[in-house]
Amino acid sequence: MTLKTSTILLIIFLAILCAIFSTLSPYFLNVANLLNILVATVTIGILAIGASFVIGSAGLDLSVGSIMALSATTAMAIATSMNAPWFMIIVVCLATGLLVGAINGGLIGFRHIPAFIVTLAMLSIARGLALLISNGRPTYGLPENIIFIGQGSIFGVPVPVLIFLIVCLFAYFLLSHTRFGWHTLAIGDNEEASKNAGIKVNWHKVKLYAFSGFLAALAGLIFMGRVNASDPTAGTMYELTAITAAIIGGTSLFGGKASVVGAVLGALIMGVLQNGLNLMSVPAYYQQLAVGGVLILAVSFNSFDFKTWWHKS
Amino acid sequence: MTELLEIQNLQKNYRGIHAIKDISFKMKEASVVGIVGGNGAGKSTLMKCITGAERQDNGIVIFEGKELTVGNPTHSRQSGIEMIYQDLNLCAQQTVLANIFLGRETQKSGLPILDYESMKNKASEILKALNSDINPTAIVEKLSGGQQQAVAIARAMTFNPKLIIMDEPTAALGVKEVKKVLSLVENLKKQRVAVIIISHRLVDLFETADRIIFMKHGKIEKDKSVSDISLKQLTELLVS
Repeated sequence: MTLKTSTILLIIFLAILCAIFSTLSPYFLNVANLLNILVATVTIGILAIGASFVIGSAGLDLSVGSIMALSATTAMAIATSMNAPWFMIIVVCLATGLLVGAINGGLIGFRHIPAFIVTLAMLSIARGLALLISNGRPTYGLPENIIFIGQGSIFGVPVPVLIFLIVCLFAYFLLSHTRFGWHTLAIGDNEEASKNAGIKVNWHKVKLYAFSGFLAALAGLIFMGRVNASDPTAGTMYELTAITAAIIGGTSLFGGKASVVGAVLGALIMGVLQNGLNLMSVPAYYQQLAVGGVLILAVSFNSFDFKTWWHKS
Repeated sequence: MTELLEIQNLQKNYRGIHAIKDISFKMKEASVVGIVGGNGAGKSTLMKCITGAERQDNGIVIFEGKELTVGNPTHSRQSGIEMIYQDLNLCAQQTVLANIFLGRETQKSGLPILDYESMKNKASEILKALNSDINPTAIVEKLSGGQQQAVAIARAMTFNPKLIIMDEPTAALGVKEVKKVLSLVENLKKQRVAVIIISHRLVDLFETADRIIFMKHGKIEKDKSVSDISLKQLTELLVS
């Protein structure tokens, strides 16, 4: 099945999900609620795009949730202690994510430590650092411009959604139309062949995890603006939701295949599911069950070879 | 035809074990040489020395009249020697054209954007020259074994090689697919590319090779033109 067919199937799956929730709740199709779903999906969506690149290269990044928190708390700590201007919060936040991601990539690419171990360790280290820097407490009172990133809107479109759109377009272009994207999938497909073809696989991994870290920091920045606080516990378990969204979107866990459109649809499916269940006042415990169930259902649906089935029947 | 490759007194030891002992042979341009021998005969070591993957302990490799002294795969490739391994080293989930241009993708002038159309056209040209009708946008894992071999050859051809070394190109293929691969080798010859085929399938070598070299215990035991040796004689040598 080509990615295009799987994308269509994901859209059908999302439409079915929306149809179910719209019949079960009269509020689901409200414009305000739909915008709410989009805004809530932005953070996971950005992380899922990063996850698609990393998983497409046969890697894994479990540290993105912690990087989100570390980037935001570091930026806020520096801004408060140095009385730095608002744009420094953005610069420091994004640079922190980029740096932590590059450290992940360096250890994976040059020290050849498995990605699972490196990013699992970084999950703990980054979270620990975020808690240390902030003394375990959220910092409130963000500059107006940072709040605008999370809560503002331009011509009625929420700023986080606009940022997400730019990220989606950039990531789609990067994956499909640049050497970086092609090399990412080639490495995930056959690392040895990629090395033999002259691709600098080690350096590529540094860039790849730095990109994932950068996107995590961007998600952290938006999240910080949205809740008007830098929270050291922000993003806990987000890595798993992001990985789930990427896999629902058709990214192969074994590498070699990834889709930005798929990751976005995967994140939207997760967002719609969470929103719909909340509207129906389903308790959180059941929501966990539903998310797991949908993951299995979506992946089965996605990997089902409809073309062969259609021709046979 | 002029000499393309000349091996003189090549020796390689691995921890005291003689993998190849004093091997010498010559090969003309646009010729096809088959190399046969049992396990441990030294075929792979010899090929590694030619491609620069291994450095010989003694002896020299002369290619187009120049000695290959650097001894690394990149240098050999730049000199015009390509190796196609048995596993083909392809990225199975990517397109044919992504594989053909892997690591050397064409970009639009002055921009970091892939020039998809130009790569597609060039891939079509290369495949056409090999008499292959594979769609450059097809996914490699969906192709037959013979077609995948064609992709590997097409990729090698983008380096403008003078010599292609193929390791067991027909080992895992059915009869029809073997025919396709042998015809690809014929096409290479027509394009003035010399080929060395390492194979256990003696029949295939008799169909394509001009010469057959039989190796045993790191030495060349026989180096004959295909007209001077029969399939039966070669089989007897192999099982002896």
